Amino acid sequence: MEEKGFLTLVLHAHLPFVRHPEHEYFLEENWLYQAITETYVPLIHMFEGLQRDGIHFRITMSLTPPLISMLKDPLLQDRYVRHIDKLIELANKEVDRTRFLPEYHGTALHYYWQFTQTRETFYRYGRDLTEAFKKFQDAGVLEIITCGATHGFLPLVNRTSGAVRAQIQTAARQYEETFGRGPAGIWMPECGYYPGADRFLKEVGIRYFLTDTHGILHATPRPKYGVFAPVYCPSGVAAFARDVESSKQVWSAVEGYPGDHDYREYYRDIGFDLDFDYIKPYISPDGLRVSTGIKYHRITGASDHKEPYSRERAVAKAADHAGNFLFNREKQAEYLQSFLGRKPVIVAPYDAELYGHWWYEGPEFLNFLIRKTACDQKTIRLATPSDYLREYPVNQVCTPSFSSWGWKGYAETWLSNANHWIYRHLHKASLRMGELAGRFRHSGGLTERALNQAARELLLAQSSDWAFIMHTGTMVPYAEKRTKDHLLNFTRIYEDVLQNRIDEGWLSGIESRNNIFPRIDYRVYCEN
Amino acid sequence: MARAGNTKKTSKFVVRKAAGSSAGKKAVPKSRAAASKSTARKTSSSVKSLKKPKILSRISSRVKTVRRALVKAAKKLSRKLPTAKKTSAVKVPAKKTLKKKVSVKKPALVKKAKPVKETVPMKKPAPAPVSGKKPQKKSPVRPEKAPVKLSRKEVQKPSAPKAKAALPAAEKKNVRRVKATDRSRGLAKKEAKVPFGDLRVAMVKKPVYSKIADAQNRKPAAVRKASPAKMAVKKKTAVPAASAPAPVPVREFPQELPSNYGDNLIYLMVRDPHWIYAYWELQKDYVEGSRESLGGSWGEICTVLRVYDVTDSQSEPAYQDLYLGGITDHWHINAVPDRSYFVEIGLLHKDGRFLSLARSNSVLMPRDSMSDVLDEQWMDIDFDKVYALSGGFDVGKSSQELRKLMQDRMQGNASSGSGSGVGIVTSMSSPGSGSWGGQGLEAMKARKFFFWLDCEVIVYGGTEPDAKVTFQGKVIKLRPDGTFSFRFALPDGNFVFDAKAESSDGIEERVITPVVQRETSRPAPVFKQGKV
Repeated sequence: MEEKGFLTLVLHAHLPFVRHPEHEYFLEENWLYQAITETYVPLIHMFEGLQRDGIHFRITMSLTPPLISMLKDPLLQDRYVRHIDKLIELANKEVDRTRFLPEYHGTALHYYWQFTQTRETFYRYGRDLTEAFKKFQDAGVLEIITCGATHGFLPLVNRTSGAVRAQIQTAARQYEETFGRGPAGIWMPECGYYPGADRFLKEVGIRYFLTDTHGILHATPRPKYGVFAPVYCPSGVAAFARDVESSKQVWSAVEGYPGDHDYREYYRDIGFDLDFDYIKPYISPDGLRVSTGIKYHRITGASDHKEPYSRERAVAKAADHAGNFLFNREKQAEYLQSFLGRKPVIVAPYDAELYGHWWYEGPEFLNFLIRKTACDQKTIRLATPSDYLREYPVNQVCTPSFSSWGWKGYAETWLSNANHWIYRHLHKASLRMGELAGRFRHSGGLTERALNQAARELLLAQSSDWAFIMHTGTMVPYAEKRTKDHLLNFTRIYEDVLQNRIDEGWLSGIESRNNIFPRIDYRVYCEN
Repeated sequence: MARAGNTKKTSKFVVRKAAGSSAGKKAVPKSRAAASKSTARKTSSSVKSLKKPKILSRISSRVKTVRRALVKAAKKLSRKLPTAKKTSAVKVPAKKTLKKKVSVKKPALVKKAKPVKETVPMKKPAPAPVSGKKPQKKSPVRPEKAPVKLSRKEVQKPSAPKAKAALPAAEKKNVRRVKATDRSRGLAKKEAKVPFGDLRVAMVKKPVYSKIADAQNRKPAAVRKASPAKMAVKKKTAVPAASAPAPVPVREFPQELPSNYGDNLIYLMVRDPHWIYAYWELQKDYVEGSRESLGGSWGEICTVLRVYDVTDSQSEPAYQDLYLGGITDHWHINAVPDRSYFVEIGLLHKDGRFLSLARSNSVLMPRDSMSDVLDEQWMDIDFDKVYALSGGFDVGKSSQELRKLMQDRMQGNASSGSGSGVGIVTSMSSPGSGSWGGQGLEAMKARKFFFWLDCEVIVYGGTEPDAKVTFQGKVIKLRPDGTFSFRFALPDGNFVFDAKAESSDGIEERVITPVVQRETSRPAPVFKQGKV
C-alpha cells in the first residue's frame, strides 16, 4: 500500500512574558516552571528517545518569542532551578510518606524519578532549553516556526501597519538570533488572520502560516481541496488550515482522549489535599494553596470519587489511544486521497501545554503515535508544511477569510465587554510610536534607548493573553495591571522624549524589568 | 464624601465600560473643587508619607492591606461598602484627605468585584505575597526615600526625580488645574489609587485574600496596634501640609490610563461576520461648536452613528442611522457578512440635517459561509462534500470547549481542593461513565457538600549521635544532634513501628515498639429532617 497522505502535527508552545525580578516569588511565573517540568522537558525526552532509536519523524513546533525570551533569561533559569529543587525535595518526602500506601507509593517514586531527570536534562542543555529544540531542528526532525513578537492578536492591533510589522519583524529577528536561520513558517497568534496580513509575512521571507478551519474554507475563491491542501495568498505566502476531525479527537470535552478514566486527574493535587503544615514550604509563601504538580489520582469517573493513579495503566491507555488516532487518520487519508485525487495534508495543531500539563500522558501518546506511524503502517507519513510544499509546489491562489481559533472563530474573545476598553489605548500608542519613530529616526544614545524601550512596552501591552484573561475572568487584576503598566510606561516615555527630559534612572529600571528583545530596533515602526 | 466615593466608583466603572466618561469627569471635579488646594496637598503628602518612614511604610502597607481585606470581607457579607467604618477611624481636619484615600480603595474593590471569579477569594492565587515582597522591595526604595523624610516640601519633591515613585492620582488635581489646556498630555483620570509606577505598592493592593491568610498567620495584633500610630502619623503629616509654601514644579505621573486623548475620531473594528465594534472620542467644545453651527438646541439634535454600506461602489452609498442612547464612547453595530461599511458619527437635527463630527475607516465584513466565487482552474470537485469533510459545519465550535477549559485552568492556575472541582471535571470525563450508581435520592446527589479526613503519623526520637538506629528493620540516618523523625500517611490497619538503637560501642541495645492502629468508620451521610 503506498502513501496516501500526510499528517502535520503542530505543537504551539506559548506563555506570556511574565518576569518579575522585583519580587522574590511571583505566582504567575509558575506557569513557566510547570510548563517546563510537565511539557517542554518531557517533549525533549521524547525527541531524544526517538533519535536514539532511529525513528523517522517530522514535527512542527512553534516557540513563541516571549517563551524563548523567558527560556533564555538567566533570572528565570535560576528560579526554575530553585523550583525544581523544591519539587525534588517534596517528591523525596512523598516517597517516605507513602511508604504504607502501596497504591500511591509507585506514583511517588515515578514523580521523584521524573523530577530528577528533568533537572538533569535542564542542566545538560546549559539551562537553556531553546538549545535542545535547536539541536533537533538542526538534525532535521523538528521544524520550528515563529509567532507574533508578543502574541498580539493582529486583526485587533493593526491600527497601523507599523504595529503589525513590528510584531512580525521583531519575532523574525529574535528567531534568527536564536536558531541561526530565518523562520520558514509562523503560527499567527491565536491563528488570527485578516486579509492582507500575509504581506508582512512575505517581507521577512516566511513561506507559510496556519489558520483555523474556516480561514481556508471560507476563502475567496472556493478552495478546491478544502482544508486538505494549502492555498497561496495573493502575496505568495501559503496558508494551511486546521483539520477538525483530528482536533476533535483530542480536544473534545465529550469525545476526547484526555478525559479517559485512567488518565491522571488534574484537580487532585497534593498542594490542596495534604496537611497545611506539611505542604507549606511548597505552596505560595503567603499560605495560598497552589498546584505542586504531584497528583495521585486518576479521573475515574464523573463523580467526586477518585481512584489512585496507576502509571502502567495510564501509559497502556495512551498507547491504545495513539493506535486509535493513527487508525482514524489512515482511514481519513485513504478516503480523501481517492476523492480529492491528491494526497491530503491533515493539519493537527495543538497547544503544546496540552501534552503534559493538562493531559499528563500526552507526551506518551505522542511518543506512541510517532513510533506507530513510523513502524506500523505505510499509509500516512509525518510531514511539516514545508515538506508538503516541496511535494506539491503548485497550489490554488485564494484569499483566506478573517478567522481565529478562538471561541466562535473570530475576534469576540479579545473584543468583549471585559476587554474592549484596551484598544483605543493600544491604537493611540501605536500611532504615537509611529510618530516617534518617524521624528526621531536618526537618534542615538539615551533617546534611542528610550525609544527602544517604548517599543518593548508597546509590544508587551499588545499581548493577546491579557485580553484573553480579562475575558475568561481568571487573573483579571494581573492582566489589567500589565496592560496599564505597559501603556503608562509607554506614554511616559512618549512624553519624555517629546519634551526632551528622559529620566535615565527610571528608564534603566524598566529596561531591566521588561527586558524582552534586547536588540529591538524601534525604527521598525516607521510608516513608509 | 460617600458621594465622592461613589462618584469615583462610577467614574472608574465608566472608564472601563465606555459610557459616561464625561459624567465621571463632571462629578469628580466637583469633589475636587470641594477640596481646597491644601487638602489636595494633604492628600498627596499624606499618601506620600505612607512611603516615607521605613517602619510606618511597612506597617501602613500592611494595615492598608489588612484593612482592605477586612473591607472586602465585610463587603462580601453585607454587600455594602463600609464607608462609615473607615470614616470613623479617622477624625481630623485631614479627614477629607484620609477619606479620599480610603474611598479610593473602594473603586479598586468594586472593580475587583466585577469579574465573577474574583469574588471567590481562595480560588485565586495571589500575584505577590507579602513575605516575598518585603525583603526585596524595601531595599531599592528605602535609600531613595530616607533623605526625604524631613519636610512636606521635600516629600513632594523627590517624587519627581525618583524613578519608581509615581504620584498618587490625588495630586493630579493640581495637575489638572495647571494643565487644563495641555491637550497633548492628556487628562489623567484622577483615581487616587496606589500608584502603578511603584510595583511594590501596586502589588500590595492586589492580593486581598492572601492578606486575609497573612493576617491570620502573622501578627494581626501588632498590625492593629500599629494602625492608630499610622493614623496619628498620617494626621500629623497631613495637617502641616496646609502651611506648605508655593509648590516646586513636580513631575506628575498618572496611574490610570487617560479617558481622553484630545482627539476627535471614530474607529471601526471587525469582531465577526455580523458585528462591528466602533469606538470614538469627541471633545466637548468641538461637539458644542458643531451643534451651534448646525443650529438648534439639544432637544432638537441628537448624536447618531450613520452607517454607510459601501460594498457596491456607488456615488451615494446607502446608509442607516443608529441613535446613541445615553452617553457612550463605543457601540456594537450589526452588519451583514461580506459587505463593506464605514461610519460617520454626527449630529442629526430633527429636521433631517446632518453634520458629521468624525468619519471612520472602512471595514470589510468576513464571510460566514463558503465563497460564491469559483475558480475554473480549480473547481472540478464536489465542494459541498469537501466542505463537510473539512468540518465546515463545525466552524467555531469544535475545538473550543476543552481547549477553553484548559486555558482557563492554565491561566487560573488555581483550583479548589479535592472534590470541589467536580463541576468542571465532569466535562473532561468520557461519556458512558454512568457511575453515579443510583445511590440515594436525586436531590441529595445534586448537593456539593463534601468532607474528607485523613491521618498521618509522625514518629520521632533521639539517641547519641553516633548510635546505630534501625526502624522497621532498616538502618536510618540520624541528624547531627542524634534525633530523627518520620512522617507517614497512615491508612487503616495495624502498624508496628519497632525501633532499635544500638550504642556505638556495640554493648547496649534498646528497643521501643509503638503499635499504632487505625480503623476508620464512615457512616452514611445524615440529612437533617425538613432542611432540604
